[in-house]
Amino acid sequence: MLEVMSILGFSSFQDIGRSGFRSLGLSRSGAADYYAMAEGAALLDQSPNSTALELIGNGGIFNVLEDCMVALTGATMLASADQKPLAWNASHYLYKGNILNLTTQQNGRYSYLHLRGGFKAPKIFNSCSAQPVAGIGQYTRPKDILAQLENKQDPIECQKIEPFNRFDLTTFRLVESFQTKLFNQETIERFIDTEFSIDNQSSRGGVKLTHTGSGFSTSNQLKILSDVIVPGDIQMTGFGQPFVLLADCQTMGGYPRIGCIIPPDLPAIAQLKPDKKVKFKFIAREEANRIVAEDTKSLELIKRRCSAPIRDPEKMEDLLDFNLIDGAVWAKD
Amino acid sequence: MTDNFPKMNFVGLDGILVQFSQEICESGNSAALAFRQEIEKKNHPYIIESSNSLTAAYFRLDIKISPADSILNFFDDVLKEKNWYTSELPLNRKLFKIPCVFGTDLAPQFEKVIKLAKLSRAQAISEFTTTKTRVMTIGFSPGQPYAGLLSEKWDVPRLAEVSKNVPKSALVCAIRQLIIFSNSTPTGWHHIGQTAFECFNSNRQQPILLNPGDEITFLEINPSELAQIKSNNSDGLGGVKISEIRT
Repeated sequence: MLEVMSILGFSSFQDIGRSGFRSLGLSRSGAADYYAMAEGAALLDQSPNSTALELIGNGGIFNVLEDCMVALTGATMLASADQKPLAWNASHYLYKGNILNLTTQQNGRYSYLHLRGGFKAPKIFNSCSAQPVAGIGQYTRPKDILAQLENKQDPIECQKIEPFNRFDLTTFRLVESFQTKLFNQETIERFIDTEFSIDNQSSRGGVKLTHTGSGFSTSNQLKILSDVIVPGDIQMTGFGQPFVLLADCQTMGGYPRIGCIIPPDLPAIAQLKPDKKVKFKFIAREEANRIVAEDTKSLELIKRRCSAPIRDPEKMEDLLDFNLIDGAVWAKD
Repeated sequence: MTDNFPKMNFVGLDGILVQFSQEICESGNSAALAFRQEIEKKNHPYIIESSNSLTAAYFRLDIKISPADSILNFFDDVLKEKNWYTSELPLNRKLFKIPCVFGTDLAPQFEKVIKLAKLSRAQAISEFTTTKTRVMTIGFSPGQPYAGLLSEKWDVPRLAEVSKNVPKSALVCAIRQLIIFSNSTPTGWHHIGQTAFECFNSNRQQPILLNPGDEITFLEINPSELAQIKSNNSDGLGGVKISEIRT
């Protein structure tokens, strides 16, 4: 159990999202980076749908109210417990009275704090993913108590994980979608040739892209019927400005979509920081299906990415504070 | 219907859209609603979830099973079962009569839109308070209805530039349709009225009340009446009167 001492405005609980309610207008939501969810779950030996705290920007400071085990994944942050550094992409024991400080994101936009046993959060339409702009759940605020859902007593060892490679992708793969044909060939070619920048106007709903040159539009763009939108769609707003739609995107909309980013590339574009440069390429459905199958398989084998942490005694301030043997210290003294 | 409809298309990598019309029309909407309902009944193991848009039915498939020809054939077979365009609307439909302020500074685009539609204020309001528009689909955000069709005069395009945030429960229009916003949102639609009806309210036993096939009409009120309604609106009903539609 943790108490939030300070936190940035748009951090929230997320699991893998809600399925089955899009006919009521509910977005899929869920963590912007599903690899980070899987990595946290592997480190803590629990379900990838366990609720984690998704942190943005400068993270937060937490007071540890009782002994617990956590994992840190996603965009790397500077992490410490009582000012002693904690490795990222690793699991750690925290003890009552510790101050956990997570700050300064380095290589991305979404970082994750996982708790062994999962965080306890209100389940709305079968998911604990908050989407406050849609009236579902709340952003995490100072003084919130972040409790554990399941009390897991069996001690496990701390581990580190080799993260999935997703922080330096620059070319994103698209498949054609039902509205691709509304754009003429010249527009599609120009889109593929264009280098875009990630705008700082981005959220869990979508990433805005900017570029030099004219916009990308279809004829009669403002009168196209509103239709299904899915995460990964690249939507062109009124002036032909592209938006990459993410987990919290609306379920329907009228601006045309030129294509859809394949799911394994979506966490990567969500993680890109402002001013990063990106390009797009279309791939055939068969190739996309093959990539997804490989991705699914590597997620099934995620435990192979875990290993015992290598600790450098030189960097440890107080060796006795570290649990060098195993989780035995975790059992209530 | 036109030669090419109904037709199937991919949505991203794991979705299929069965489209019944390119233009918005009530027969295409009825067809889409009935087709989705029929597919849901058949419980196909590859289908994870489905939804309707205005004139199409969307099916999300298990991404681990790349959309094989078998599922396209399955949809095709169901399409051939009947003429979907003459389908009945869902049963147990309801009429929602929603109090609404038209124009004033609460809904600043009303005057401009009635000018585009070449209607007087009285004519426009008469249309909103006598026409029953059908909820064609729920989407964009939780519980949010797309209702139509208004008469052809209301075939006004969306704005090219997305406006600043329009408040929750706003009535907006474009291309012969009306939407009541579930949440405050930037939009390209024209803000013509303001209600206190919350399409989604988690304090209610039923957070979402509207369903496709339901009908919406309006009761004109003034800003002080709206303020009155808002002062006692924790259930977010906004003074709506709901009645059964007898068919």
